[in-house]
Amino acid sequence: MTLSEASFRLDTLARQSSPLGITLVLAVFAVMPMPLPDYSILAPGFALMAVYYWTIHRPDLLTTPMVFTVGLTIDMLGGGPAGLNVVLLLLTHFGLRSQRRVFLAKTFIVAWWGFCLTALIAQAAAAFLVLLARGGLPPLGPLTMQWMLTVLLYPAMTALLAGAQRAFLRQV
Amino acid sequence: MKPRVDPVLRIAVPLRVLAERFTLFCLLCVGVGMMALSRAEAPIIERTRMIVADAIAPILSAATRPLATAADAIEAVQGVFDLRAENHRLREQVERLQNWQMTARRLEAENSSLRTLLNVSPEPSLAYASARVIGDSGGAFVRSVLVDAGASQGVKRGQPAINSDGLIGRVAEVGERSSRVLLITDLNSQVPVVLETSRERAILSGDNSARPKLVLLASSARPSPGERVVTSGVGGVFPPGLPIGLIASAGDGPPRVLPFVDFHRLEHLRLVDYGLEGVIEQTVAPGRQRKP
Repeated sequence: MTLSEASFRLDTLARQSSPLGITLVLAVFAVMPMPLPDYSILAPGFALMAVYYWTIHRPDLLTTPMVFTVGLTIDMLGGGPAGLNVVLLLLTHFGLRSQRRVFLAKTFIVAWWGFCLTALIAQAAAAFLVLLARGGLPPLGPLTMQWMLTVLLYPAMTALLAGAQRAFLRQV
Repeated sequence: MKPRVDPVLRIAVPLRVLAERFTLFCLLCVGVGMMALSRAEAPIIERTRMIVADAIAPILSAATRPLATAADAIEAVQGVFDLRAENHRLREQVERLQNWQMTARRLEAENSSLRTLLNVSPEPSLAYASARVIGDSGGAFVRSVLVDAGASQGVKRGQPAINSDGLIGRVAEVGERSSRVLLITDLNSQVPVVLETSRERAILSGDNSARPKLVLLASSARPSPGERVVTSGVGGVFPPGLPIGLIASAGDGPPRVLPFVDFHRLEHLRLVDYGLEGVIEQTVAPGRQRKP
């Protein structure tokens, strides 16, 4: 293998791992303390947005074990019940893979609506799992606010991820 | 005529789908297993969590520095505009505090002479570890923070975390270079407290809201809004007298406490070794269910 071949392969590998890299960075970003009031409570589900986007647009580059890794990272860094995000993100990933063509072919509004529904189901499932794991439910107000914030920020996140897709993944 | 499908493909494609489904099933089982272990308070979860936290702590620490600097810069710019008023306020405060200092000195001297008279054993000296908040729990389900001090700085499980405003919480998980502090507002936090003026005892129980509630308060007790709540020292986890907050307006349900600490602006905190070895072994970590 010549040097140029090797560098080409390395380049392709780096490009192909960008969806996982970006999703992991977003997962870490969510646990960083921000000097904003109530941010720690209302931190939007950045990783959920990324998993939703990549599962629809490049499911070949964000595989099931990668989604597991992302969920595990969030669970290990956050203080919540371990395994919660692993289960939620895997179910989201699985549910979307069979439906991705519906969102891929349609306008952005349809994809947004789909995300709105996905995030709602994920939030409800999370609340239910937390109730099972900790024996108590946190106040519903912040949960609703967190869901709304996640949904409202999705268009901006899509623009960002679409930009990354254009920049890194046009040829791979 | 139907196009012929390669026989290898005819087997390979369903096999691949099957393999993917199997992987998903296995990983889901791992996730559910982790939740079960977490609920059963298996030590492996805590150990793994702290290994990951230790590994990622330097990255988080470096990443949060610019954010903290930016927040400081914004605060500094805001501060320039009300320098005059601030100056005036500080002068008044200095005068007031000088009076307090005199009182404190007098009381300290009196206290020490009385202690000598009564032969009271001296209070143990305190060991502090200062730490910076490098990670938040990131969600509505738990109230805890990750800090950049761990066992190598002498941090032990159960130590109270305080700042200049009052009690923040206690150390729930300890790693080598980082540890997790369970805030007093968390669902699993219970702190024995006493109302400062009426001396009524109660338990401050978090419920993930900004105002934890007072439970196990005597039915005859009438907490008045604005009364200070401090730790009682019962149970031996927290030393007595650490300020917690004020009784918020008494409405329906149990009385609630407005903490002195602004949990949204936590940057630095102190983990204090009071030399208490109380019921630390029985305390619960975040994400675990409280024992009835």
